[in-house]
Amino acid sequence: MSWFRRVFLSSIGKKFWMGVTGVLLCLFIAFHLTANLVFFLGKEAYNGLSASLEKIPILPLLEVGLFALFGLHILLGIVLYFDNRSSRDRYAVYGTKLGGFGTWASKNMIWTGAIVLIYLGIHVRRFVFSEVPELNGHADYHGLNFEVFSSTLYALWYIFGVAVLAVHISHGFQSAFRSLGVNHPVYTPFLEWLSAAAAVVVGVGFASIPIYVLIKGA
Amino acid sequence: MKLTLKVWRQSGPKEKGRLVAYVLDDVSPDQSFLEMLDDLNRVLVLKGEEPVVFEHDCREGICGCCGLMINGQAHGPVRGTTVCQLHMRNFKDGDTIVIEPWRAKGFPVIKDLMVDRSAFDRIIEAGGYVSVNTGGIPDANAIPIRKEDADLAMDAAACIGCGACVASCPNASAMLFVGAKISQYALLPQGQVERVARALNMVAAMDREGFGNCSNVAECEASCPKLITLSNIQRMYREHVKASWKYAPREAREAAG
Repeated sequence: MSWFRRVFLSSIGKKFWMGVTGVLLCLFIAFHLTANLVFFLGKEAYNGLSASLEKIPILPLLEVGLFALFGLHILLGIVLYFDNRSSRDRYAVYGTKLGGFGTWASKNMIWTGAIVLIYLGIHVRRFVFSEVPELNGHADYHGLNFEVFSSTLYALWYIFGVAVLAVHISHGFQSAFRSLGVNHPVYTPFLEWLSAAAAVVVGVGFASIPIYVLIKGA
Repeated sequence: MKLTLKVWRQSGPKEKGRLVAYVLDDVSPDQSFLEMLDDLNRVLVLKGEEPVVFEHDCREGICGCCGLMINGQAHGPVRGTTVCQLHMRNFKDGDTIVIEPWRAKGFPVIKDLMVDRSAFDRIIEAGGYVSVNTGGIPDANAIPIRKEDADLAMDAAACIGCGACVASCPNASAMLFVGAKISQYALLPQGQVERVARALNMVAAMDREGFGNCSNVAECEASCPKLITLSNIQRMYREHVKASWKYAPREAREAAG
């Protein structure tokens, strides 16, 4: 088996890169959430941050990198799903020796991932490739949030989308470390706890803006 | 106890199987699950029917021959036990018990509840051994290693290769089995010589057999009769990643033989 096949195409290689892309995407989400929460600091702060982010010289490069990261993560997810589907055989009766929500989340990563992908497509079209309202000659991203979430239906869909993302992360974050070979009697339980905490923070954090707009609009 | 059994009957590898219901009237709660199946077979033989084929050997929970999916749980409802050590007192009078063989593409059904687990043998052949001169067994405590390492190696070596991990995994992944087999040698001095080749070859063999990929569900750990832990899978990852990255293709090829 060649080096390339061992490192990228073996079962463990695929899991490894799934873990790498997963952790990096979690870092992006952490950054994205932090930027989002500046929304609550007011119009100037939020629009100022948006403007300064747009001034980053290597922005196109970062965007391409991010797109590649998502692409690889999604591609691996689909490949692994079909790998696994062809490996298993159906039982007449399904039982489990585990329980709890974590098991449900871990067994349904492909579906929570698929919903997140649909959500992402709509989200990017709505927030990235859309007309941004202007305020004093500057792009008013703060106002864009109000404009977008004035549609109750879209706001609810957005909240549902981030809730599903939270479920995906609740398993994914700690699972990624396992796929990178990390397992420790002290740190692994901590990572599991962190994973659950991160899911709650991501879910509540991203949903806070549409909820705020919904309440304020009402 | 009166029990209704729904047993998977399949007359051959290529045949279509189905669940057949049998009623047993006087099952003793002290019987083991396999003794209960022996009783069922006695009834079937007296009736002139084909007995149910199922695998067993030691009936002490140490050989890894028996393995049944009982109501969708590998080795039944009790943790850390094999089917032969599962007693009927874990079931109630009037229960319906669905009994199926291990199901995975890597474990084709031979007949009824018996599956072909030679995929595991081929994985072991690929690297689950140490090449040392045979002779007298050295005293366990004569090897100068940390007790912690000896304990971890022993925990991994407790794997009996029954296949419950594959059977219970939603992805039919054999990584707990292979992880245990790689770990037991990686932790000991005797395993160092072939360490790189073992990781590369056993994982390659596992992939060839068409087992799935671990997604950290941990169903395997929960159904393992020997309580092998997931940490063995992570150790296998580390072994394989190190072996894959560290060695230039030519060296790895040479190491892998």
